[in-house]
Amino acid sequence: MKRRSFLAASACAVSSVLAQPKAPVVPDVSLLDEQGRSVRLRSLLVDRTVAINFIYTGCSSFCPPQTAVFRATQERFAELGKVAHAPLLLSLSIDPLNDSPKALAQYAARFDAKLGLAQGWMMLTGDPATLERTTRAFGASSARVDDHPVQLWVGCAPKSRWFSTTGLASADDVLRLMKAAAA
Amino acid sequence: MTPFRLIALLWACAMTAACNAWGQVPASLVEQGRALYFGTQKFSKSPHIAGASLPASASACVNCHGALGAGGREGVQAAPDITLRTAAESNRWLVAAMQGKTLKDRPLNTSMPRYRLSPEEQAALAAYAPLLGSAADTVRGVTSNEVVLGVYMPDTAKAQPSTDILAGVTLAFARANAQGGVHGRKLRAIAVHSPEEARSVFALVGSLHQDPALEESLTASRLPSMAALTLSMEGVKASGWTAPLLPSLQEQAQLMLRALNARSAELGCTPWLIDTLQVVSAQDPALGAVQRFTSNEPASLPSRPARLCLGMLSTQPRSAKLLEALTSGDQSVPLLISLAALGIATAHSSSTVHLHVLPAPSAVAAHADAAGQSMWVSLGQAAGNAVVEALARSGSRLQPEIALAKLRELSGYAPLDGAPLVWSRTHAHGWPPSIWTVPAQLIGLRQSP
Repeated sequence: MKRRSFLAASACAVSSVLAQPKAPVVPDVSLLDEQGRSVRLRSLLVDRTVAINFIYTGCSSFCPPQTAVFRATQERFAELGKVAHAPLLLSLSIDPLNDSPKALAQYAARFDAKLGLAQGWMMLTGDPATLERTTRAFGASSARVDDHPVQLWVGCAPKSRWFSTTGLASADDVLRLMKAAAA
Repeated sequence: MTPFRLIALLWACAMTAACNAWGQVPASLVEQGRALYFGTQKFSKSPHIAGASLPASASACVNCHGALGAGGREGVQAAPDITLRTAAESNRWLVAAMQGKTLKDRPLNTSMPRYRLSPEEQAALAAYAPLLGSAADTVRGVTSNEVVLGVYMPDTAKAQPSTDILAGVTLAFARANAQGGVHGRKLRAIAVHSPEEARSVFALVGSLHQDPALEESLTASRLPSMAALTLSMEGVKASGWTAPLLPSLQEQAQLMLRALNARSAELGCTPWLIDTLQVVSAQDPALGAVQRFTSNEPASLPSRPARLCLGMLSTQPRSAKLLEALTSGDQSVPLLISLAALGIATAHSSSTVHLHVLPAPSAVAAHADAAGQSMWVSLGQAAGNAVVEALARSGSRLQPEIALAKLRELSGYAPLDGAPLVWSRTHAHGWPPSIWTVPAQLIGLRQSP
C-alpha cells in the first residue's frame, strides 16, 4: 500500500472524512485572538499540525459539542507523542459582527478552554470581509451563519497533507487525523 | 419502579381522563423535568459527546430540539422531532438520551450527547416528556384565555417613567384585545416590583431594569425581557434573554461622533467630546477630528478654542456646570450635541445649533407630540405593539423562547408609524438612534433611566 493511501485509510476511521482534499489556499490575513491581539493566519500554519473548526458564540446547538471536542483533544495532546510540527487547534469565528475578542474569551471560559499559542488552541475573529475570505478558503462560508457546515479541517502545511470531515468528529478522530497529517 | 415502567404509567395517566392532574405524579416532578429540558436546572452529571464532556451551559435539550420539541437543523446537522405520539414511544427519550439509540436499536447521530441521568432525573424527564409541545404543557403567565405580562418598576423614586410605560403598554394591549386578543387570549399588563414578582408573568415588556438580581433571574426563570427600554452601556448579546428596543449608549455615541465631525466641518469649528461616562474608546476611529476629554471639570480642560463645537456624553448636573463655564460671558458654541437620554442643560445662546441624539427614530418623538403625551407613553405603546405582533407570530402554543425569537424577527415591522424595527441576528437592539433638532424642553426624556 502506498504511503498516501495508507494515511488516507487510517484517517477514514472517521466515517465522513474526505481524505486528501485539495489543500486550502489560506489567505495571508490578520485575525484577532481572544485578547484582541493581531495574528497572521499563515504564520500560524506554516510549521504546525493544525485542526480547524468553525464556530460562533451565539450558537447553542452544534458549536458547543465541537468546542467540547477540541477541549478534550487539547487535554490529550500528549498522545500525539513527539511531533516535529507542534499541534495547534484553531477555532475560527464565522460571526464577526457578534464575536468580538471579548465574546470569544467569554465563550472559551464556558468550556474552561485554555487559549494561546503555548497552550495549542486559539480562537480567532476579525473583520467580516477578512473572515469571509478565510472561511471561503476552507469551504465553510455560508449565507446564513446557522447554515454553516459542521466541518473540521486537519492539516500539516509542511507535509502538504490535509484532511477534512463533515459531521461531528470525536477527540479520537481529531488526534488520529493530526497524527496522519504530521506523519 | 423502573423509569421505563414509570413512563408507561405516565403515558397511560396522560391519556386517561380519570387521571386528574397527573394522578400520582407530583407536579414538582413535572416541573423538574421541564427545568432539565429547558436548562434552568443543570443535570447532575455532564453529558458526554464524541468522547468529550459537555458543559452544563450547553447541555439543555432545548438547545437542539427547540421549545416545542419539534427539532431543527444547523448546517448539515439535524435534530429530530422528539415529541411523543404514542404510548409505545414513551421510553424514547431515556433510551435516546442515555443509550444513544432509537427504540428500534438504531444508533443516533454522534451529535446526540449521552446523558448520565440519575434515577430522579430519569423520572422527571419521563414525567415531562408527554407534555412537551402539547397544549397541556403549562407556561407561566399563560392560561387558555389570557397572557399576563409585566412592566418592571422596582424603584419608586423613578416610578414616573415606568407608570407612563405601563400606560402605553396598556393602550397597545387594549387595542389588540378589542380585536379579539392574540390567538384567542387577551393580553394584560401588570406592574411587577421585584424579581420574585417578575417570575409570575410570561414576559417583561417595555421594562427599565439594570438590577443584577433581575438579570440573573431572567435566565434562571426563562423570563424574556421583550422590547426593554433600558439604555445599556454595552451592546447586549443578540441571543440573550433581554431584547432591548432602544439602542445602546455606544450606538448613540457613534451617531453623535458622525454628526459632530460632519457639522463641525461645515461650521468651521473645533469639535470636542466631553465623555465623562467613557462610552467612546480613545482609539475609536470614529473620533476622526474630535478631541475627547473624560473630565467635566473646567479647570482640567485646555483653553477653549474660539469656535468650539461640543458633544456631551455626560450626565446632569455636572455637564450643565461645564456648559455654563464654557459659554460664560459672550462666548457661545455654534454646535451642541447631547444625548437626550442623559438629560442636558439648555444653557446656550439662540445662535447655537442644538442637536439631541434620540434613543429612537424621530418619529417616536413626533408621535408623542401629536398625541400630547409623554415620550415614555409612546415608547410603552411601541413596546406593547411589538410584543403583540411577536405573540401573534408565535402561534397558539406559546413558549418564552419562541416569543423572544419572533420578536427579534420583526425587522421592518413598525410598532409606531414611521419607526420600523431593525432587529436582526447581528443587531441586538430594536431601534437605531436618530438626530433631532427639536428644542430640548419638548422632549419628555429628561429623566435618565
